[in-house]
Amino acid sequence: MLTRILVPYDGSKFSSKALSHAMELAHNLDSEVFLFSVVSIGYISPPGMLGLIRTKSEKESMKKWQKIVIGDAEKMLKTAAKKCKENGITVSYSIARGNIANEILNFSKKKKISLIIMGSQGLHGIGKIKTLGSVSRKVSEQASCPVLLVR
Amino acid sequence: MTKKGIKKILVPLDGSKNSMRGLDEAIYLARQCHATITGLYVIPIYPRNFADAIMPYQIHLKKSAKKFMSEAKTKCAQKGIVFRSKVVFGSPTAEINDMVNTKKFDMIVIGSRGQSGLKEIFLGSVAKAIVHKSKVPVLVIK
Repeated sequence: MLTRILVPYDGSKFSSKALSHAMELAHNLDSEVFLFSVVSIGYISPPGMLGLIRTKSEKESMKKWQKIVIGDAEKMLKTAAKKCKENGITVSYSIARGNIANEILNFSKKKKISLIIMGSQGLHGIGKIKTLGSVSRKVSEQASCPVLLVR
Repeated sequence: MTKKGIKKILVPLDGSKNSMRGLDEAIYLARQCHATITGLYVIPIYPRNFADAIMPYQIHLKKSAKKFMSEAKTKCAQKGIVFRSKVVFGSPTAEINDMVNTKKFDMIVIGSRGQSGLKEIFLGSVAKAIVHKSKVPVLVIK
């Protein structure tokens, strides 16, 4: 029933908690784990910077930054995937660009995910005040499959 | 591997189709993780206030609760899982949270909408409040 588990992973402590939960469940349920990370352009440049970019060299440096960030994300996912493989779980990872929540929802639809396990919040916001992150909220409301929120 | 597994699952039930779907999922999980399930139904009235006026309604609710709790119990028994049922009065979110904190559950499995189902898009009020407030993982079933 729950054979395909999606874990949106951004390196925060909430998502690593979600991953350890996912590993435990995958171990019990014999399921496949998909690690997924989204690189959004808003993360890379400071807010409001995109409109100011005019010259070629600036554009090129933007591209360079993007490449670096994607490379970092891949490294992060690789270490996470390694951790899963050590526990004997089949795992695959992918990276997308764009709006985070939308990309997660699209991915879950495309890959026919049967369970999403995610942290209650990600890298943003003040943990003590916020009870639920924006992405977690949107995904839990709009996803067509069960969502497990870990905190 | 994490140290403590999922041993106790709380399933808030209200007799709606969605909550029963939550129970199905919980049964599946419990089977794989060797966990026990506790079904909780919170009757959303305080018994002290105007007790006479709402008495018939309460009796009706209690009766229906008994009915779907036994239904749930047989469902679990068929799959070989220990099921405990509990019916309490009070505000659903507060009672569910209290229960989780005092009895140390490892997971909550809840339907995204209960009896007052309006739209499919958003979470119901109880599901939302629990997702926001609970300290343990929450599995939201669509």
